[in-house]
Amino acid sequence: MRNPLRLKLEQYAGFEEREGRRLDELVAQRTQVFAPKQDILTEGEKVKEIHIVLSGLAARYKLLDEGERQIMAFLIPGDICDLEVFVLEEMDHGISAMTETVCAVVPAETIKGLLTEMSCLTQALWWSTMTDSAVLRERIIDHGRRDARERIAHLFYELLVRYRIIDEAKDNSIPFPLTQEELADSTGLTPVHVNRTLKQLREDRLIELKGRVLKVLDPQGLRRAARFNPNYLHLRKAEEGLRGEADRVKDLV
Amino acid sequence: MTLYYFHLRDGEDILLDPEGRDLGSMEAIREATLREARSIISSDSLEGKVKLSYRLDVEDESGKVVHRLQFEDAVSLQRGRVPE
Repeated sequence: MRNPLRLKLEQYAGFEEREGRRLDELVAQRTQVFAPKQDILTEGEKVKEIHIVLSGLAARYKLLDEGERQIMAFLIPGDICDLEVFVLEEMDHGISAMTETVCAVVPAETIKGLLTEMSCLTQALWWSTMTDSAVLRERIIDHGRRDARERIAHLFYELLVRYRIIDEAKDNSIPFPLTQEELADSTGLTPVHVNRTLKQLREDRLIELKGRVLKVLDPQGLRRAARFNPNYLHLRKAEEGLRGEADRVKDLV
Repeated sequence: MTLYYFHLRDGEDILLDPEGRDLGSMEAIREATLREARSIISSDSLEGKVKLSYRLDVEDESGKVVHRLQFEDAVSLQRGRVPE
């Protein structure tokens, strides 16, 4: 079975065969399917289990008083929804499925056991959490310093890198179920503004959007449009030019 | 669920809204339209070039225009110069 969590974490850590097997078992135990727009976790919920996205797309969001929604992050396969369970009491934001999304559901106790047993997993999960905060920092830069075109280009390029890591970006095409409204909620723009920006990116032959698939036609061009610096993803294996797992993403970083 | 489509025109070109969005009332439509126009104007002004010749047409599913906003009417401009 494909294990996107393992594909992601091995960009940082090297796992021995036995450890890899444990990681595979982790996501193979119990899964849950979430319908589009369904909450995987609701703000205020007390989390007892950890949800790892296996397929589909989810988003961290917060609802504001007037019904407006800000999406803070997208979770693609291999991403963990709620590692804060160990430290925090309840969710301070919600996580919603953007399309049909399958999560592995793992009791917190199981992860605790694994963390004591495998120090390399502890480090890898810590890396993953740190990288998640780095991705959030980029959203702050978006709102402070990037114009509409840079924001969207940045998000697309980042998603391309992340889908490459989990080996789901054949021909630089990635799943893209998001609507203009959802893109607007994540970039702080409005839907028509998003539509106009997408048109520019299409006209510049940087991307193509067709049938819920985003194809990056010109990765280097998109990277320039985004003024993208991949350092915040901390893909040290790819940066050091190591062979193996890093091959999946090397040409992008 | 009623979908409304926000098409952006500038006299020559039209940027069609392929998706539409679900809005509950005329008031919500008017608010969303105004927000759209002001958001685009404000972001364009940061680039130094504002196009007030845009118009937003909101159509229902049958293609009937239910609301229309000229960008010129979305903001009030106080023009003039401070004398030297």
